[in-house]
Amino acid sequence: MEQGAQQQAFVEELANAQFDLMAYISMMVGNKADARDVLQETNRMLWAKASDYDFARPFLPWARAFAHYEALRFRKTRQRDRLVFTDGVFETLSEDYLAAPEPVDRRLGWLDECVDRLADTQKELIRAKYFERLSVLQITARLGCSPASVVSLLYRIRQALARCIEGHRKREEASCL
Amino acid sequence: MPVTPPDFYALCHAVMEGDASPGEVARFRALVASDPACLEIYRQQMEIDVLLTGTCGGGASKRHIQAAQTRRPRVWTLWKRVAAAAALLVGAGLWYGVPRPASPVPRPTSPVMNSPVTMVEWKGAWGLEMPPELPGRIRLARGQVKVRLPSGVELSLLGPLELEAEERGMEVRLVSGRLVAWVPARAGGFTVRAPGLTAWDIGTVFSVAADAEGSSLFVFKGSVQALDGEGAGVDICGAGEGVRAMGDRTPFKVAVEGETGERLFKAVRGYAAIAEPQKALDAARRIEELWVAKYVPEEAERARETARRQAALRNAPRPISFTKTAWVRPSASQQKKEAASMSTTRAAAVLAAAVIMGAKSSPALSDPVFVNTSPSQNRRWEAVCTNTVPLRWEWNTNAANARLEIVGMNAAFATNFTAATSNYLWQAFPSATPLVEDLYELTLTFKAGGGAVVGAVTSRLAVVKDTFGTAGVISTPEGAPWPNVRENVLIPYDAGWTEATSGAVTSRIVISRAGITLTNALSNPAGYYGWRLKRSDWGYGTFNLALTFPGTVTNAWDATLTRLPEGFIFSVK
Repeated sequence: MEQGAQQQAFVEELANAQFDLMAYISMMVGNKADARDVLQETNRMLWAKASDYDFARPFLPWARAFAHYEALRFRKTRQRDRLVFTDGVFETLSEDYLAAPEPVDRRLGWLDECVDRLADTQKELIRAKYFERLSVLQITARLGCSPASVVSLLYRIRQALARCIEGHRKREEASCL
Repeated sequence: MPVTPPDFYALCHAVMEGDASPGEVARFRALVASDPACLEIYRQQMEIDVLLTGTCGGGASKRHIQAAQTRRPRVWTLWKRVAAAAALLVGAGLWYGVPRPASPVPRPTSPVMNSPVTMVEWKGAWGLEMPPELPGRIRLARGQVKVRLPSGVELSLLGPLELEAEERGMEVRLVSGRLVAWVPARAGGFTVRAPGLTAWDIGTVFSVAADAEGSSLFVFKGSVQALDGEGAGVDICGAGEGVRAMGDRTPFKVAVEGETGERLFKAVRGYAAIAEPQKALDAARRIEELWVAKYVPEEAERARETARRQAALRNAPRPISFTKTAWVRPSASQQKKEAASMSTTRAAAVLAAAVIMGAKSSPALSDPVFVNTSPSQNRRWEAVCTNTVPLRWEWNTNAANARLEIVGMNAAFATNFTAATSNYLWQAFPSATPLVEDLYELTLTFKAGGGAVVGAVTSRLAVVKDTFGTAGVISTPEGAPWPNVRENVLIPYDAGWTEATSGAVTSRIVISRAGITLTNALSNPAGYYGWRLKRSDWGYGTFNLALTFPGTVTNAWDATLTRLPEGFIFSVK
């Protein structure tokens, strides 16, 4: 593959992997603000090592190794009392995530269907939090309920969506047997 | 078997949002390490949160979302479409993964982090001083911050503001400025003292404003007991009511009046005032004006006179343009100082110092840097070692006072001086290193005793984040990518990068994207161009940039920039 085409292919792989990397890093560092920083460092490292990438091999596992390293590096730079996870929990989360049977795209498809099943008021809350990116206090002002209620409602909606996705996963597993 | 605490969901939410205190983080860490059920809850919550964040746009503009909603009721795959579009882009040269700011809301560092007063939100705030302990003083020069006191009371502060907080956070004294308070039930009895007025909370959301003319209280939710300056009761104010205290006269109560007042109040009543404190305070002031106009006409006339004076000041002749623009630029070699001093009398004005290499956390104050205003010699990098910029000037002989205005892409600041002052220490950003890059325009306007403008001088200062610490600044022609791309972009340009363009006296940067083209004619051959992307209509996608130096060679520096919701990939050829 000539250099220009290789570069194009690499950029394509990198862009396509962004969401999966963000999902993995968020899980490992505990919050999205820090995750965005770690993701950018990961991107920087991936680009620096682009010439080492073997196009015959899948991109995502290769990129995830960098994400894992950057998440570890982030932990080293952060004071221990500010770390969200102990070393043991960090490793458990990483192993579990990487052992997930289906790619993130599959979960996105299920999520799409699960969101459709939510009540209108729940969809409204999701829209405010994730489309409009309103803070809890802003949602509080809009809906006229307390901040604690908003946090609780969001928790319950996410829990319901997680159960719904798990249901999809189990049905798919059963259909393969 | 451990029992999952009932408040774990709130703790989990705080951690995921990055809002958890160190104590909460420690508790969360212990819970997920000891209780598998807690870890599973976190795993589920984070997975769904990330999926929703990504599928719902990941920061895509509202315009994109609305457009997508029009086309298709469900917009959950927007992020994937954005990512796919980005994947089509390839540059012919260098590519850089450029980090984005640490958080959409810049998170302040020490001394803010070490204060017993917790930072909750930060909106274009500038010149914030937080107390290392309580009792202590909070100052805010400009913008808006939300802080939480140890009592749990949350205060939205609008600068300029000065506030003193007592030890437990149950009482504050507003010296000047405006605030909106949200008082949780456990902090009932919270008290705000302002000149001539005291507000004693009875569980509520309310605002207090204090300026040279007096103090105002307005209630958006719940009730507040209002007292005068001597501690005597004025009245209990419910939602839509307030009190105005002016000088020596007895404080009087105001309330929502008429259709206009009702409409104004409806938009900010209840918790809406917390979400939009600026709007709430403006509405409260307008409601007060309406009430005063109807029931205290003599007071209304006095207010109108004040407004007329302010309008006259705003419409005063524009500052005289200072034609020789001064540039202060970062230096590859620390402490390399421009030898030439300001030689022209017109130029002998603002001396600004920039903030650059090797700064780290050093509190040392650099010597003021002389700004060479000659267009042919101002391409050199300057160096100082602090975020505190010493400004110094010589007074116009006809001036009695002066106003300094500093306007950046992310914040603005202004202050006044009398003739006794001829220097000022300006803190460009609160932390040891800048949280965001910015480009500041400094204007010092001299006025005679009657208010007439008698002179003005200007300067500009670029704060470039990666020039702090050990990062180098590339200024050679061969290695001159345009680095440091942020949400608001600083683009360095310099005709001196190549011999062929070194004779240029002006520059031009053209930015284009799918039907939108912006041509920027720059009046100098070197410096920084501030491209305001944040809160703009540019949106996401691919941008083409071209830098040329008119009058020299026709070749241009071309660049392609991809703006993704989570950051940038930037190419230069």
